[in-house]
Amino acid sequence: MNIKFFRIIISLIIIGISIILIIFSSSKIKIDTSIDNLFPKDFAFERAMELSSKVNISNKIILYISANNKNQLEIAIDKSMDILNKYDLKLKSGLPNTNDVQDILKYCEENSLLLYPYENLKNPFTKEEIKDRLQKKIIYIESNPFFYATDSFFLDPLMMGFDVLKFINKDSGRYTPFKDGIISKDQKNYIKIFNADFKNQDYDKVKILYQIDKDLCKMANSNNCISFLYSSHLYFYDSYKSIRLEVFLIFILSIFLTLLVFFIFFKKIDLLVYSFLPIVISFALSFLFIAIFKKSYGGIALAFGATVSGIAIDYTIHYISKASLYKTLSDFRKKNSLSMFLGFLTTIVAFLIIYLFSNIIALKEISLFALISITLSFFFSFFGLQKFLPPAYIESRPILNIRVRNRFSFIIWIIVVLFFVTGFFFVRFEDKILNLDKKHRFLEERIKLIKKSFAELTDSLFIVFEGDSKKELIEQATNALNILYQKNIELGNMSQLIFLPSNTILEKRKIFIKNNFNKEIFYNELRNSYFTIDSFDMWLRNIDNINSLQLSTLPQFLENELKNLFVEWNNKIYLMLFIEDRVKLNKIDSILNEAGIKHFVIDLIKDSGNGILKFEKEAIKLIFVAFIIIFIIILIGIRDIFGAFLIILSPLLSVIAALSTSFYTFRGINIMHIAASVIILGISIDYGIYITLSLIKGKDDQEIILTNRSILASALTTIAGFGALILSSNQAIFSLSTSIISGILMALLTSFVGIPFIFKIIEKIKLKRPSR
Amino acid sequence: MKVNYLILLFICGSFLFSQNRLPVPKDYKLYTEFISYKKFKYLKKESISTGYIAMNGKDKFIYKQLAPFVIEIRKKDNNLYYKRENMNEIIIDITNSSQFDIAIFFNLDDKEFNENFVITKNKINNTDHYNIIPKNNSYVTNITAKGNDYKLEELTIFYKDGSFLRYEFKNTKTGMDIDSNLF
Repeated sequence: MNIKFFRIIISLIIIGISIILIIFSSSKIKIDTSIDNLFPKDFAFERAMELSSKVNISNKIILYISANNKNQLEIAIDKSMDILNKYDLKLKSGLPNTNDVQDILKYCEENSLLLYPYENLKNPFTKEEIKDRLQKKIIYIESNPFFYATDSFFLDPLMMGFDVLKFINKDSGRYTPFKDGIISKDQKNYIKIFNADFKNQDYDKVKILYQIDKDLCKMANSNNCISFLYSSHLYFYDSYKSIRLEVFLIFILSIFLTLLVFFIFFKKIDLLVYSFLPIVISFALSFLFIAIFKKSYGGIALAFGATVSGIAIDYTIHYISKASLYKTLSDFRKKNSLSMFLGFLTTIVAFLIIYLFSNIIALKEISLFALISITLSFFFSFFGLQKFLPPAYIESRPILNIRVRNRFSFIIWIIVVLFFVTGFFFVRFEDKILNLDKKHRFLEERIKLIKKSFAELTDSLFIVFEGDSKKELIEQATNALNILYQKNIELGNMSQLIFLPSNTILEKRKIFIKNNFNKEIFYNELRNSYFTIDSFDMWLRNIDNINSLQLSTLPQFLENELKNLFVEWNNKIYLMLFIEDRVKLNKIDSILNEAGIKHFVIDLIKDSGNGILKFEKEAIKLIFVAFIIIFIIILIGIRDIFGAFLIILSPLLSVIAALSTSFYTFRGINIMHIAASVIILGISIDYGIYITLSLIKGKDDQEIILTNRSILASALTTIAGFGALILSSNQAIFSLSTSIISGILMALLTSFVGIPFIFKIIEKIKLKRPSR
Repeated sequence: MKVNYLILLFICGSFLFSQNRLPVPKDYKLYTEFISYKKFKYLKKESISTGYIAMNGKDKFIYKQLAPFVIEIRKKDNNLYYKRENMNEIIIDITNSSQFDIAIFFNLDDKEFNENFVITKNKINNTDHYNIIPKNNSYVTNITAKGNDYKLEELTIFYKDGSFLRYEFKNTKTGMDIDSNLF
């Protein structure tokens, strides 16, 4: 009694220390909630990810406000801005304000001679054009009741600066600038765009952004309007918040359910406490390992890790289930070590295959966590628990006599097999990475609302030029823009480059001016106009000195915008032009390909789709290879080909069930179904091994009953462990959970019903043969 | 679209109360016809335009140029809108504008106005003569105005390059109901 009490106290202390260690270590791990980790990495895709994360557009934050009328909208804007200014986040406006627009206009006027795209627009120096343009200049003065001409006015007699602005965006005027943002046509909706100087995962700052958003929504509620923020930061923070809570809840629930199933089977609190030891110690050390060596770890991997207890407890269950049949530990080990070790090895091999061959970070992280925790759990169970709790201490109290081998159960098994095999023929591969992320409903509703009034798209679509210098890139991109313009493609956001023409273009324009401008014609028309003859002398002097004419300094707003087009990565410079929609992107891509302009396209969703499909198909092949390797290991271990086929039947059907679950849960096969298949392969093979070996070796009924009980307990603890994941809001974790549950159920049925029934039939055939 | 500040001398006359004041339409009700003369150094002859200004309360205002072509600047819902002939109406952002933009006047209270302008008034032949000097302007030297209690008769902006812009007002009516069709 004293020793028993002492053992319990020691166990509880170890459990307590381990839990403290888990809490301490997990608080040190930076949880990565991005879905980037779910992408298979290849060079093109990695480059696309890196470039789009570096380009300025990914850090845009939209403030959206909607009200019933203009007055209310204005009040809401002021109140929203008050909220934003209250916090120390210092967001910079992403749209030009009135002063910026004036600066840009001034820049266009001052540099009209060099900025005007002669190669694309009409020759402005013909007699008719000069006459017409001087007239427009007068109309411009008369259109502005309080007009006053500054110097730039006199540097653009032919209104070429305005043509430059019109050229940039034919669609300009669709939105009206208002309060540093833009207002919709019906004047009820407003957006202001900010540039954030922090990244999506800079959670300290994103937390402030989240708080601002909360305050905006609160203010909007009490003012009968809508006001919110929209940015990729909020997606990350939403995932981050839920994954932290979910990891914690799943961990607690998983451990609780696993231990509950264990308790139902063994009905002893002290056994429960001892059995918990290998799991909790291995968990504590796994978390510690990650905290020390990894620092940052994927949220999905940690959520998965929280459920590994379902597998880790299996070794303890097998030991406790059968130990009572043996007098000493060495007797137990003589009979059971092979099956236990084979079971451990095949489970580990499955995770090892994922770790070594997968190029998806999330899967690598999942398998690393599983490798560490399952290995530690096995060794603590085998070398620690078995000695700490020798067979003599364990009483045999079987509560269930599980022997389901009648025809009815076999028919049920056949029906289940047919169900999953049929589903398997309808599976498809998932190509949309976003289907693996958490459903961010409130953010999705927000973007719909924004798109209703403002065609602001959130896809990361870019035409990219690669080179060694900015000069080279500007040359390439300007060429491309000219070709696109000639093909009548609206340049939109891409055309910012018009403010920074390449040297080649500038030289060509200077030659054009020299060849086409005639001072006599200009003077003749000027004499006939309202302007005095000396009005534009400054401009004429520029033409006289056209060879040495240089562009003036870019306005600050344009300088920042243009600077943001360039991204450096891997010793190369990239010029990234944002494209508003996918149809336009495809058109531009094919035009530039036809013209032989060197470029590439970034479309993260599409690019990732190709990568994912490629990965998924390769992974299926890898699973096939894993089957062969595991079959060979079993064959070497048991030296019985018939037995090896029987053993492999359980994982084979379980993997089919896991994959076809994707069809029955209305999803495509994604990387998580594949990961689940590999895990199932590792777990279900154990059941196959335990049951087949007990049948082949003709163990007594008591041993078979105990084997069945241990398999049932293992299966149920695994289902309990992974079952907790079904509650996750993350689609990837949900897929993992559902396919593991159906895979384990299939493995359980096959081990209990299928394998013994087939074994029996074949044994009968074998018995009949010699009599013939 | 840069609209200079003169127009606000009508619209926001109330801002000028503190020391001396320009004539403010009685009850903020006004109808007046104008002829504007732009005498710019670089133009061979004056540019002349005509139209009317109407006001019905502080928040209802229209400046309508009828010749040589139609331009409307109207105040509605505390915002200014600009429209030229058949082109789309655009909002003049009154919250973020450079100095001497029309917008800055909307946001000026007495204190801000006094920080930016000096206004003096003299009576000559029973007519008030005003001189407004911007404190921080680069291209307007001064503004002069002539008028009486409720009516402004003439207003001129002088620019540093010697150009000027003069408004003459005729047929001015204040303090009576204004025809809503004018807006």
